[in-house]
Amino acid sequence: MNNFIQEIVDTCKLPFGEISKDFKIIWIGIGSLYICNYRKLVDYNTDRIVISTAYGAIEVVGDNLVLRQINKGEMIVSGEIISISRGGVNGKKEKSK
Amino acid sequence: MAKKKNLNNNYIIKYSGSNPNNFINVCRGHGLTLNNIVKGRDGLQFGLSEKDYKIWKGLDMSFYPHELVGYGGRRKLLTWCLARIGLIIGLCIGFVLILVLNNRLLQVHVLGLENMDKSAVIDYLESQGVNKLSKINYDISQLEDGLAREFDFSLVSIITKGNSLVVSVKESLPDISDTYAPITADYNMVIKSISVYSGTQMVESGDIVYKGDVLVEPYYQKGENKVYVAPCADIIASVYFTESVEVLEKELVMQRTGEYSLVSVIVSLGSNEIYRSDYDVLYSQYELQSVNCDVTSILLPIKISKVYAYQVEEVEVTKDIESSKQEAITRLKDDVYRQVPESVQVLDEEVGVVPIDGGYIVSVCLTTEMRFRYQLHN
Repeated sequence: MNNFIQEIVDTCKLPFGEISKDFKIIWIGIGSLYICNYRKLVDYNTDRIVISTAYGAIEVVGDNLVLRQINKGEMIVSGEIISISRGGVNGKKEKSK
Repeated sequence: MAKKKNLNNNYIIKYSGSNPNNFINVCRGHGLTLNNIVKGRDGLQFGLSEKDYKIWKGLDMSFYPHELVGYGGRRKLLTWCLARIGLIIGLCIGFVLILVLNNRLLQVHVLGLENMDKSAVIDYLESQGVNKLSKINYDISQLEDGLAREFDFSLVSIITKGNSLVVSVKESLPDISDTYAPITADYNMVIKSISVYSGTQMVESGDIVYKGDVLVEPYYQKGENKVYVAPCADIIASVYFTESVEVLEKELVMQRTGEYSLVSVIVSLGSNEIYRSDYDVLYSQYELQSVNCDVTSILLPIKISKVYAYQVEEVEVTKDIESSKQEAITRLKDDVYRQVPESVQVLDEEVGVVPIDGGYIVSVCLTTEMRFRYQLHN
């Protein structure tokens, strides 16, 4: 289905990334992270943020992490980000769909 | 996500419940955008925009312990301004005054006058359109020429300094013939002796002279020509100091009826009048009385002066004539003794009481002997 949409978008010259509902993480510079189309916030601490997405949990590890802005579909995280990984709430890897 | 403008209202809310992650998800679920989420030991603190705060207030959040801990943007600015309302008003008034008074004349300084009053110069300048609060765009050279012609100044210089006009003048030197002025009597007196060293003697011993009479002329008569000299003379004279007053048994005095009306209101800033309103006086006979009130002298010296007209009427008063006479004598003595120069001995004091119809004329006369040495230099 996604391929079909991809073909339509390519034909119409539309920005697929902008209009799709897929989960996205954009790492801006060193200290900011833009996350969109996530499901919910699972855990938030100054050294660890866990969010759940359609493809499983995503874990952001760092220091002095602050949620600059959060709403229903988007989130901006700032701080000293060390790593981003797919993982569960207890650190276990979840199976992707 | 667009960056919010700093002046937009925002509210800081603190959540102190046990499950902050769930609380964030609940807020997200209601479509709220939380800003600057800070998780501390005592709870979660976050910011809400004005639009989100309106949604927040419409939600039932009583299950979640929270409190409003601060706000920013326009509301914070407004609160800051309200807390310093005096400063803000002062700044606004100052700004308005700067705009209004910029390049306007506030003061006229006249420097260098010795023999004449500066009000004459100021009157002339006002007649030429140099009034207070008028715009400073005068033709300086025309004013300088006019002043020099009008008052016979040898030098006139006008400069503008800020809101002031500084007029520096140098008066013309007096005519040299002025130094040959005659010697005139300073008091009403009887000449006892006169010794003239230069000039022409005009009075003799025993003459009665009045204040202003010429005693010695400043010249010699040489044939038909007059030779001018600086007069010099030594004069001993009896000088009389007198005062008199009429004391009547029945006297008309002006007495206030108790009615009054406002005549004028003047609002002034420092020494400058900024508002004036005059009203007609309703009474035929009245006394004026002014009342001054300082509105504020902390930031701006604003003063309100009101002038009231008090209605008066003539009332005939019968007085104790004897006590009035004694009071008049005492008062006259004080006045006359005040006229006698210091270090002059009073030789005789004479009190005269002349009865007239309905009262007395009381007079006090002091006799002194004074020595004058007149010496004029050229």
